[in-house]
Amino acid sequence: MIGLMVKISAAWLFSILAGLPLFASMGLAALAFLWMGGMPITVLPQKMAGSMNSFPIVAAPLFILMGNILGAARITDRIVAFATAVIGWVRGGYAHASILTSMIFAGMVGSAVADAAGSGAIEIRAMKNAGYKPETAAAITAAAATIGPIIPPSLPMVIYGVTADVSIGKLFMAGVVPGVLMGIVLMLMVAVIATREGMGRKPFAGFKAVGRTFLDGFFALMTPVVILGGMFSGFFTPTEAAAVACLYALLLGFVVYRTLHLRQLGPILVETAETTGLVVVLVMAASALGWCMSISRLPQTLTPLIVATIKSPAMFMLMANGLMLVVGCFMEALAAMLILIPILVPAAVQYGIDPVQFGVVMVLNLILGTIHPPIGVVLFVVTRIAEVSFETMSRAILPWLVPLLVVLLAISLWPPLTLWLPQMMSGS
Amino acid sequence: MLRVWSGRLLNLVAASLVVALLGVVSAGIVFRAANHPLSWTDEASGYFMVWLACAGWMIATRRQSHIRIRFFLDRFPHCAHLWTEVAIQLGLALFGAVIAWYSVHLVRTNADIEAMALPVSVAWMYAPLVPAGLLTAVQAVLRCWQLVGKGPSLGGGAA
Repeated sequence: MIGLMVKISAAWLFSILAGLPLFASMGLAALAFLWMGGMPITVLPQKMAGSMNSFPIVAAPLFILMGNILGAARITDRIVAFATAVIGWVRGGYAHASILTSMIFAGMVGSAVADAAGSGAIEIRAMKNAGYKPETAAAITAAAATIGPIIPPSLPMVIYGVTADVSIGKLFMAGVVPGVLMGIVLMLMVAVIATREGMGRKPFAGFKAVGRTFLDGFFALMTPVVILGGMFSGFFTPTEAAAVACLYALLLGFVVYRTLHLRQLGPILVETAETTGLVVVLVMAASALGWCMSISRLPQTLTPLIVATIKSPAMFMLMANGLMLVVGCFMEALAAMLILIPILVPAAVQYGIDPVQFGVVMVLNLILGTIHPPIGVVLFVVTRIAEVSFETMSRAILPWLVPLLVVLLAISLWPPLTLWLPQMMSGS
Repeated sequence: MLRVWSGRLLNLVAASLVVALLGVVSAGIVFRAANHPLSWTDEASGYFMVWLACAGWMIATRRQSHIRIRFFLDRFPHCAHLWTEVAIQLGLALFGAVIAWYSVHLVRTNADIEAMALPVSVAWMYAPLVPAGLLTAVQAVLRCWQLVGKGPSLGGGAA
């Protein structure tokens, strides 16, 4: 069975690189294993449907819906105004404000692309108007957007939690400190380059302006409080928090700010369904393939081999980081996660690494791929907004990867950065 | 015309499923807060999730927006690109046909089994895989036909 699975896995990877849609490549690999192994083919649709019949995965479409509602309701304008009033007066203030906006927005949407597309246009325009180079403005926005899936809620963490059977609530809590750290190191980087790049400063608008923008955006700024407060207080599960956040977003759009119209609702719902389909069909196919892998005992055979080859947990973490960074450069983050989880998570557990910590490390690794050439989705988004060439952007983003890699290294090698908050909240 | 109307119907079903999913999860929270917890909301949300996943899969298939790596394929010479794409579509057709065929079998087998908390058959969980598989297969065959130069354009995004 192991030999068969190894051959099928090789053909499967080849088919992915040849351009077969990822869900079909995983499904066909599972089909080949079942057929050649003489097992009933009905297992394939059974496992696919079974993987969706679970309450935690329901959080995925609901968080996607919330992001779409907030985007359509143009909530970001208010958050950008508040962030600019708070920190826009220091040197490189617009860059700092862009990072702060991403940190706040990260508490509302769970995807880097949604973050970059949602607030990117306003941030990049403001920075360009203030005399920043377009590629620098776009690079700062792209780097800050990676905070989106780290600070909860986070779509990749929902998918990791469901696939690796890890508490989504604990994953969400574990993302808070690394997300804040990412914001801090990016702001430090801005402070370092602000003088060299000639980034200006504008006079402090006064506490009145800060108060006014805070009141103007108060209900929008309360969104993360509603989501995280409800979840961390134990009142909601992550799935229920997603539903409450959707209702809250609808309330903001239709009643509080009145920026949402009924005619926008249809496209929002259809877009939510399509994005859900794109994401969860991968989970469905990966679930069938994962079952085939465990039947073949491939992970059970690979794990002792990895453990025998790599001696220390720290070395394993570094090797896993290298692998995930390379894979993340060439593959969509969620798909890469579904492929790597059955191989790396059992090995990480064997080394005594907490799967919650490993989940945050994996998400950050793969999200870095979205701002890295050649398949950086976030990079494509900001390139279009800033109207610069992809080649220019590919060079401009490189220095901004350094502080993020430092955070990655820190959370990989020092578990308390990720595990302290979930352990404290659960009292263990 | 058929394509346009079937697309609208699919969009309507998908949008309704999103609303239903949100409604069921919200109802679970409200009734629990009111000290009257509902026993069926978790199971119902699971069923709606399977249906929504398949509806989204179908929309993404129609719009040809499924995630795939085109990095190497786009660098192939024209002829190799064409025949690789044909092979990819044949793979998709096979996958879709297998899913549809064996899901029909699952629906038949489970037709008499009732769900735990809902008064419905477990077959409803497998039922949406039939149209999703069929659409994947049909769309892939039509795309093959189009690629070899005889079929009509299917619209949608880049395949």
